[in-house]
Amino acid sequence: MIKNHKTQLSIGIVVLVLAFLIAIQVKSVTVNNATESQQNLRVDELLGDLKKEREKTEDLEKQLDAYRNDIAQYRKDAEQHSGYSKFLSEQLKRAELMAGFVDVQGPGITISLSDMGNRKAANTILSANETLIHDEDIRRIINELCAAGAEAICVNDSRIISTSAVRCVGPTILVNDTKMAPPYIIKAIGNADQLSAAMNLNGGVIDNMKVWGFTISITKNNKLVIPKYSGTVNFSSATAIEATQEGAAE
Amino acid sequence: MIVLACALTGIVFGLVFPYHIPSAYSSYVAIIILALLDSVFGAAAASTRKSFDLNTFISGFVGNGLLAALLTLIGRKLDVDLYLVALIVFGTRLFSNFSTIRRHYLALIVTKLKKKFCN
Repeated sequence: MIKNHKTQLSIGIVVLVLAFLIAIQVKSVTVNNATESQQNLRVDELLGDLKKEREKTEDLEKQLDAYRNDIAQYRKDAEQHSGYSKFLSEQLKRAELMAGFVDVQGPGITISLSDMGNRKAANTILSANETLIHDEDIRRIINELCAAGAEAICVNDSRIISTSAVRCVGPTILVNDTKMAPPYIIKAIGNADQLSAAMNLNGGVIDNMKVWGFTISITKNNKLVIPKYSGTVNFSSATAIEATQEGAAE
Repeated sequence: MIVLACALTGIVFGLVFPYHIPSAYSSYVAIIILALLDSVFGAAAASTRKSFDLNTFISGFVGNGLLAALLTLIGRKLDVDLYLVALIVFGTRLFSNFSTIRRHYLALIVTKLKKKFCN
Protein backbone atom coordinates (compact mmCIF):
# COMPACT_ATOMS: atom_id res chain seq x y z
CA MET A 1 0.00 0.00 0.00
CA ILE A 2 1.92 3.05 1.19
CA LYS A 3 5.53 2.12 1.54
CA ASN A 4 7.26 5.22 2.83
CA HIS A 5 7.28 5.41 6.63
CA LYS A 6 7.33 9.19 6.62
CA THR A 7 4.26 9.27 4.40
CA GLN A 8 2.47 6.77 6.56
CA LEU A 9 3.27 8.78 9.66
CA SER A 10 2.00 12.04 8.16
CA ILE A 11 -1.23 10.44 7.03
CA GLY A 12 -1.45 8.87 10.46
CA ILE A 13 -1.21 12.26 12.13
CA VAL A 14 -3.97 13.66 9.96
CA VAL A 15 -6.12 10.63 10.67
CA LEU A 16 -5.42 11.10 14.37
CA VAL A 17 -6.62 14.70 14.22
CA LEU A 18 -9.60 13.60 12.14
CA ALA A 19 -10.58 10.86 14.58
CA PHE A 20 -10.09 13.21 17.51
CA LEU A 21 -12.32 15.85 15.94
CA ILE A 22 -15.00 13.32 14.99
CA ALA A 23 -15.09 11.88 18.50
CA ILE A 24 -15.24 15.28 20.15
CA GLN A 25 -17.87 16.52 17.71
CA VAL A 26 -20.08 13.49 18.27
CA LYS A 27 -19.71 14.00 22.00
CA SER A 28 -20.49 17.73 21.71
CA VAL A 29 -23.55 17.18 19.56
CA THR A 30 -24.87 14.66 22.09
CA VAL A 31 -24.21 17.05 24.97
CA ASN A 32 -25.73 20.01 23.14
CA ASN A 33 -28.84 18.06 22.22
CA ALA A 34 -29.18 16.95 25.82
CA THR A 35 -29.00 20.53 27.12
CA GLU A 36 -31.51 21.61 24.51
CA SER A 37 -33.99 18.97 25.58
CA GLN A 38 -33.32 19.98 29.16
CA GLN A 39 -34.30 23.52 28.23
CA ASN A 40 -37.50 22.16 26.70
CA LEU A 41 -38.14 20.30 29.91
CA ARG A 42 -37.69 23.59 31.74
CA VAL A 43 -40.33 25.16 29.51
CA ASP A 44 -42.72 22.32 30.33
CA GLU A 45 -42.07 22.83 34.00
CA LEU A 46 -42.71 26.56 33.71
CA LEU A 47 -45.94 25.88 31.86
CA GLY A 48 -47.07 23.68 34.72
CA ASP A 49 -46.15 26.40 37.20
CA LEU A 50 -48.07 28.95 35.18
CA LYS A 51 -51.15 26.76 35.20
CA LYS A 52 -50.90 26.30 38.96
CA GLU A 53 -50.50 30.03 39.50
CA ARG A 54 -53.50 30.71 37.30
CA GLU A 55 -55.62 28.36 39.36
CA LYS A 56 -54.38 30.08 42.49
CA THR A 57 -55.34 33.45 41.01
CA GLU A 58 -58.82 32.18 40.28
CA ASP A 59 -59.22 30.98 43.84
CA LEU A 60 -58.00 34.30 45.18
CA GLU A 61 -60.42 36.15 42.96
CA LYS A 62 -63.27 34.07 44.33
CA GLN A 63 -62.09 34.87 47.84
CA LEU A 64 -61.92 38.56 46.96
CA ASP A 65 -65.50 38.46 45.73
CA ALA A 66 -66.60 36.87 48.98
CA TYR A 67 -64.82 39.59 50.99
CA ARG A 68 -66.43 42.26 48.87
CA ASN A 69 -69.83 40.80 49.59
CA ASP A 70 -68.99 40.88 53.30
CA ILE A 71 -68.03 44.54 53.05
CA ALA A 72 -71.27 45.35 51.26
CA GLN A 73 -73.14 43.58 54.04
CA TYR A 74 -71.27 45.50 56.75
CA ARG A 75 -71.99 48.75 54.97
CA LYS A 76 -75.69 47.99 54.79
CA ASP A 77 -75.70 47.26 58.49
CA ALA A 78 -73.82 50.48 59.28
CA GLU A 79 -76.23 52.58 57.21
CA GLN A 80 -79.13 51.39 59.31
CA HIS A 81 -77.42 52.38 62.54
CA SER A 82 -76.73 56.11 62.38
CA GLY A 83 -77.08 59.15 60.16
CA TYR A 84 -73.35 59.75 60.14
CA SER A 85 -72.51 56.30 58.87
CA LYS A 86 -75.17 56.78 56.20
CA PHE A 87 -73.46 59.98 55.13
CA LEU A 88 -70.08 58.24 55.08
CA SER A 89 -71.51 55.39 53.06
CA GLU A 90 -72.89 57.80 50.48
CA GLN A 91 -69.52 59.49 50.21
CA LEU A 92 -67.86 56.13 49.75
CA LYS A 93 -70.35 55.23 47.04
CA ARG A 94 -69.55 58.41 45.17
CA ALA A 95 -65.84 57.81 45.49
CA GLU A 96 -66.24 54.25 44.29
CA LEU A 97 -68.29 55.39 41.32
CA MET A 98 -65.57 57.80 40.30
CA ALA A 99 -62.76 55.35 40.92
CA GLY A 100 -64.42 52.62 38.87
CA PHE A 101 -65.06 50.14 41.65
CA VAL A 102 -68.76 49.67 40.96
CA ASP A 103 -70.68 48.44 37.93
CA VAL A 104 -72.18 51.39 36.14
CA GLN A 105 -74.85 51.86 33.51
CA GLY A 106 -75.96 54.68 31.30
CA PRO A 107 -76.07 55.91 27.71
CA GLY A 108 -72.93 55.70 25.61
CA ILE A 109 -71.28 54.19 22.58
CA THR A 110 -69.78 50.84 21.68
CA ILE A 111 -66.79 50.66 19.37
CA SER A 112 -65.78 47.32 17.98
CA LEU A 113 -62.41 46.89 16.34
CA SER A 114 -61.27 43.89 14.37
CA ASP A 115 -58.08 43.46 12.43
CA MET A 116 -59.11 40.30 10.60
CA GLY A 117 -61.74 41.69 8.25
CA ASN A 118 -60.44 43.76 5.39
CA ARG A 119 -56.92 42.48 5.16
CA LYS A 120 -57.45 41.42 1.57
CA ALA A 121 -59.54 44.44 0.66
CA ALA A 122 -56.67 46.72 1.58
CA ASN A 123 -54.96 45.02 -1.36
CA THR A 124 -51.54 46.39 -0.56
CA ILE A 125 -48.38 44.75 0.53
CA LEU A 126 -48.59 45.23 4.27
CA SER A 127 -46.56 43.45 6.87
CA ALA A 128 -48.38 41.55 9.60
CA ASN A 129 -47.31 44.32 11.95
CA GLU A 130 -49.29 46.88 10.01
CA THR A 131 -52.48 44.84 9.81
CA LEU A 132 -52.70 44.32 13.56
CA ILE A 133 -54.39 46.61 16.04
CA HIS A 134 -51.81 47.85 18.48
CA ASP A 135 -51.93 49.00 22.06
CA GLU A 136 -51.23 52.46 20.69
CA ASP A 137 -54.54 52.45 18.76
CA ILE A 138 -56.54 51.37 21.80
CA ARG A 139 -54.78 53.98 23.92
CA ARG A 140 -55.54 56.72 21.44
CA ILE A 141 -59.23 55.79 21.34
CA ILE A 142 -59.42 55.74 25.14
CA ASN A 143 -57.69 59.10 25.26
CA GLU A 144 -60.10 60.58 22.74
CA LEU A 145 -63.10 59.16 24.62
CA CYS A 146 -61.87 60.70 27.87
CA ALA A 147 -61.38 64.02 26.12
CA ALA A 148 -64.96 63.81 24.79
CA GLY A 149 -66.29 63.39 28.30
CA ALA A 150 -66.62 59.66 28.77
CA GLU A 151 -67.31 58.81 32.40
CA ALA A 152 -66.61 55.10 32.33
CA ILE A 153 -64.66 53.10 29.75
CA CYS A 154 -63.95 49.42 29.42
CA VAL A 155 -62.06 47.36 26.86
CA ASN A 156 -63.47 43.85 26.46
CA ASP A 157 -65.10 44.25 29.90
CA SER A 158 -61.84 45.26 31.54
CA ARG A 159 -62.53 48.58 33.20
CA ILE A 160 -60.16 51.46 32.56
CA ILE A 161 -59.31 53.25 35.82
CA SER A 162 -56.71 55.82 36.76
CA THR A 163 -53.92 53.26 37.05
CA SER A 164 -54.87 51.16 34.00
CA ALA A 165 -52.17 50.29 31.49
CA VAL A 166 -52.66 49.21 27.89
CA ARG A 167 -49.70 47.32 26.51
CA CYS A 168 -48.68 45.05 23.64
CA VAL A 169 -47.69 41.48 24.43
CA GLY A 170 -46.80 39.77 21.19
CA PRO A 171 -49.88 39.65 18.98
CA THR A 172 -52.24 40.29 21.90
CA ILE A 173 -53.00 43.35 23.97
CA LEU A 174 -52.77 43.53 27.73
CA VAL A 175 -55.33 45.76 29.47
CA ASN A 176 -55.11 45.84 33.26
CA ASP A 177 -53.00 42.65 33.12
CA THR A 178 -55.80 40.89 31.22
CA LYS A 179 -54.67 39.46 27.90
CA MET A 180 -57.07 40.01 25.05
CA ALA A 181 -57.27 39.29 21.35
CA PRO A 182 -59.40 40.87 18.62
CA PRO A 183 -62.19 41.78 18.29
CA TYR A 184 -61.70 44.57 20.79
CA ILE A 185 -64.94 46.03 22.07
CA ILE A 186 -64.58 49.38 23.75
CA LYS A 187 -67.59 50.64 25.68
CA ALA A 188 -67.86 54.17 26.97
CA ILE A 189 -70.59 55.78 29.04
CA GLY A 190 -71.23 59.47 28.49
CA ASN A 191 -73.12 61.72 26.13
CA ALA A 192 -73.60 59.33 23.20
CA ASP A 193 -73.86 62.04 20.54
CA GLN A 194 -70.80 63.82 21.82
CA LEU A 195 -68.79 60.62 22.05
CA SER A 196 -69.67 59.34 18.60
CA ALA A 197 -69.05 62.77 17.10
CA ALA A 198 -65.58 62.76 18.65
CA MET A 199 -64.94 59.29 17.27
CA ASN A 200 -66.18 60.10 13.76
CA LEU A 201 -64.10 63.24 13.39
CA ASN A 202 -62.58 63.68 9.95
CA GLY A 203 -58.89 62.90 10.33
CA GLY A 204 -59.60 61.65 13.83
CA VAL A 205 -58.46 58.44 15.49
CA ILE A 206 -60.95 56.13 13.81
CA ASP A 207 -60.54 57.82 10.46
CA ASN A 208 -56.80 57.23 10.60
CA MET A 209 -57.24 53.60 11.58
CA LYS A 210 -59.69 52.92 8.76
CA VAL A 211 -56.90 53.67 6.28
CA TRP A 212 -55.22 50.41 7.33
CA GLY A 213 -58.36 48.41 6.53
CA PHE A 214 -59.47 47.62 10.08
CA THR A 215 -63.13 46.72 10.54
CA ILE A 216 -64.48 49.37 12.88
CA SER A 217 -68.07 49.93 13.89
CA ILE A 218 -69.46 52.56 16.24
CA THR A 219 -72.95 52.19 17.70
CA LYS A 220 -74.81 54.45 20.08
CA ASN A 221 -76.57 52.77 23.00
CA ASN A 222 -79.25 54.10 25.29
CA LYS A 223 -78.28 51.76 28.07
CA LEU A 224 -74.80 50.36 28.45
CA VAL A 225 -73.47 48.34 31.38
CA ILE A 226 -69.82 48.64 32.24
CA PRO A 227 -68.44 46.26 34.85
CA LYS A 228 -66.36 47.35 37.81
CA TYR A 229 -62.60 47.07 37.99
CA SER A 230 -61.88 43.50 39.02
CA GLY A 231 -58.39 43.86 40.43
CA THR A 232 -57.14 45.63 43.49
CA VAL A 233 -55.29 48.91 43.69
CA ASN A 234 -52.76 49.41 46.43
CA PHE A 235 -51.20 52.81 46.88
CA SER A 236 -47.96 52.23 48.70
CA SER A 237 -46.01 55.34 47.71
CA ALA A 238 -48.65 58.03 47.36
CA THR A 239 -50.29 59.38 50.50
CA ALA A 240 -52.86 62.14 50.70
CA ILE A 241 -51.72 65.55 51.87
CA GLU A 242 -53.89 66.71 54.75
CA ALA A 243 -55.58 70.10 54.39
CA THR A 244 -53.82 71.49 57.48
CA GLN A 245 -50.44 70.37 56.23
CA GLU A 246 -51.11 72.05 52.93
CA GLY A 247 -51.90 75.27 54.74
CA ALA A 248 -48.69 75.01 56.75
CA ALA A 249 -46.68 74.53 53.61
CA GLU A 250 -48.09 77.65 52.11
CA MET B 1 -1.01 -0.25 10.75
CA ILE B 2 0.26 3.13 11.89
CA VAL B 3 -2.80 4.79 10.35
CA LEU B 4 -5.15 2.45 12.18
CA ALA B 5 -3.34 2.97 15.48
CA CYS B 6 -3.51 6.73 14.98
CA ALA B 7 -7.26 6.57 14.31
CA LEU B 8 -7.85 4.59 17.50
CA THR B 9 -5.68 6.94 19.55
CA GLY B 10 -7.55 9.91 18.13
CA ILE B 11 -10.94 8.46 19.04
CA VAL B 12 -9.77 7.63 22.55
CA PHE B 13 -8.30 11.11 23.00
CA GLY B 14 -11.50 12.70 21.73
CA LEU B 15 -13.67 10.71 24.11
CA VAL B 16 -11.37 11.38 27.07
CA PHE B 17 -10.98 15.08 26.26
CA PRO B 18 -12.81 16.90 29.07
CA TYR B 19 -14.19 19.83 27.07
CA HIS B 20 -16.88 19.91 24.44
CA ILE B 21 -17.52 22.29 21.58
CA PRO B 22 -20.31 24.83 22.06
CA SER B 23 -23.14 24.43 19.57
CA ALA B 24 -22.29 27.77 17.94
CA TYR B 25 -18.98 26.35 16.70
CA SER B 26 -20.03 22.82 15.87
CA SER B 27 -20.67 23.70 12.22
CA TYR B 28 -17.04 24.82 11.88
CA VAL B 29 -15.79 21.56 13.34
CA ALA B 30 -18.14 19.60 11.08
CA ILE B 31 -16.81 21.31 7.97
CA ILE B 32 -13.19 20.85 9.10
CA ILE B 33 -13.90 17.17 9.67
CA LEU B 34 -15.19 16.95 6.12
CA ALA B 35 -12.06 18.71 4.81
CA LEU B 36 -9.84 16.25 6.67
CA LEU B 37 -11.86 13.29 5.42
CA ASP B 38 -11.46 14.63 1.90
CA SER B 39 -7.69 14.92 2.40
CA VAL B 40 -7.38 11.39 3.71
CA PHE B 41 -9.44 9.93 0.89
CA GLY B 42 -7.49 12.05 -1.57
CA ALA B 43 -4.24 10.69 -0.18
CA ALA B 44 -5.49 7.11 -0.42
CA ALA B 45 -6.64 7.67 -4.00
CA ALA B 46 -3.32 9.28 -4.91
CA SER B 47 -1.37 6.41 -3.43
CA THR B 48 -3.32 3.95 -5.60
CA ARG B 49 -2.29 6.04 -8.59
CA LYS B 50 1.25 6.13 -7.17
CA SER B 51 1.15 9.93 -7.38
CA PHE B 52 1.10 10.67 -3.66
CA ASP B 53 3.02 13.80 -2.72
CA LEU B 54 3.55 14.62 0.94
CA ASN B 55 3.72 18.39 0.42
CA THR B 56 0.52 18.45 -1.61
CA PHE B 57 -1.15 16.35 1.05
CA ILE B 58 -0.17 18.58 3.99
CA SER B 59 -0.88 21.86 2.19
CA GLY B 60 -4.17 20.38 0.99
CA PHE B 61 -5.51 19.40 4.34
CA VAL B 62 -4.40 22.60 6.09
CA GLY B 63 -5.54 24.86 3.26
CA ASN B 64 -8.85 23.10 2.62
CA GLY B 65 -9.71 23.06 6.32
CA LEU B 66 -8.97 26.76 6.72
CA LEU B 67 -10.83 27.73 3.55
CA ALA B 68 -13.86 25.68 4.57
CA ALA B 69 -13.92 27.27 8.03
CA LEU B 70 -13.47 30.71 6.48
CA LEU B 71 -16.36 30.09 4.08
CA THR B 72 -18.55 29.05 7.00
CA LEU B 73 -17.58 32.23 8.86
CA ILE B 74 -18.25 34.50 5.87
CA GLY B 75 -21.51 32.69 5.22
CA ARG B 76 -22.60 33.33 8.80
CA LYS B 77 -21.76 37.02 8.50
CA LEU B 78 -23.54 37.39 5.16
CA ASP B 79 -26.45 35.14 6.17
CA VAL B 80 -25.82 32.92 3.13
CA ASP B 81 -25.12 29.25 3.78
CA LEU B 82 -21.71 29.34 2.11
CA TYR B 83 -20.55 26.23 3.98
CA LEU B 84 -22.79 24.34 1.56
CA VAL B 85 -20.19 25.09 -1.13
CA ALA B 86 -17.51 23.30 0.85
CA LEU B 87 -19.97 20.56 1.76
CA ILE B 88 -20.83 19.82 -1.86
CA VAL B 89 -17.27 20.05 -3.17
CA PHE B 90 -15.85 17.84 -0.44
CA GLY B 91 -18.73 15.43 -0.70
CA THR B 92 -18.34 15.06 -4.46
CA ARG B 93 -14.59 14.62 -4.21
CA LEU B 94 -15.02 12.12 -1.43
CA PHE B 95 -17.15 9.93 -3.67
CA SER B 96 -14.91 10.32 -6.72
CA ASN B 97 -11.81 9.49 -4.66
CA PHE B 98 -13.59 6.55 -3.14
CA SER B 99 -14.53 5.29 -6.60
CA THR B 100 -10.85 5.53 -7.64
CA ILE B 101 -9.81 3.47 -4.61
CA ARG B 102 -12.62 1.02 -5.17
CA ARG B 103 -11.72 0.47 -8.83
CA HIS B 104 -8.07 0.03 -7.95
CA TYR B 105 -8.65 -2.66 -5.36
CA LEU B 106 -11.43 -4.27 -7.38
CA ALA B 107 -9.00 -4.60 -10.30
CA LEU B 108 -6.39 -6.09 -7.97
CA ILE B 109 -8.85 -8.62 -6.56
CA VAL B 110 -10.15 -9.56 -9.99
CA THR B 111 -6.67 -10.16 -11.34
CA LYS B 112 -5.82 -12.28 -8.29
CA LEU B 113 -8.98 -14.35 -8.67
CA LYS B 114 -8.32 -14.82 -12.38
CA LYS B 115 -4.84 -16.06 -11.60
CA LYS B 116 -6.23 -18.48 -9.04
CA PHE B 117 -8.89 -19.90 -11.34
CA CYS B 118 -6.61 -20.07 -14.36
CA ASN B 119 -4.07 -21.99 -12.33
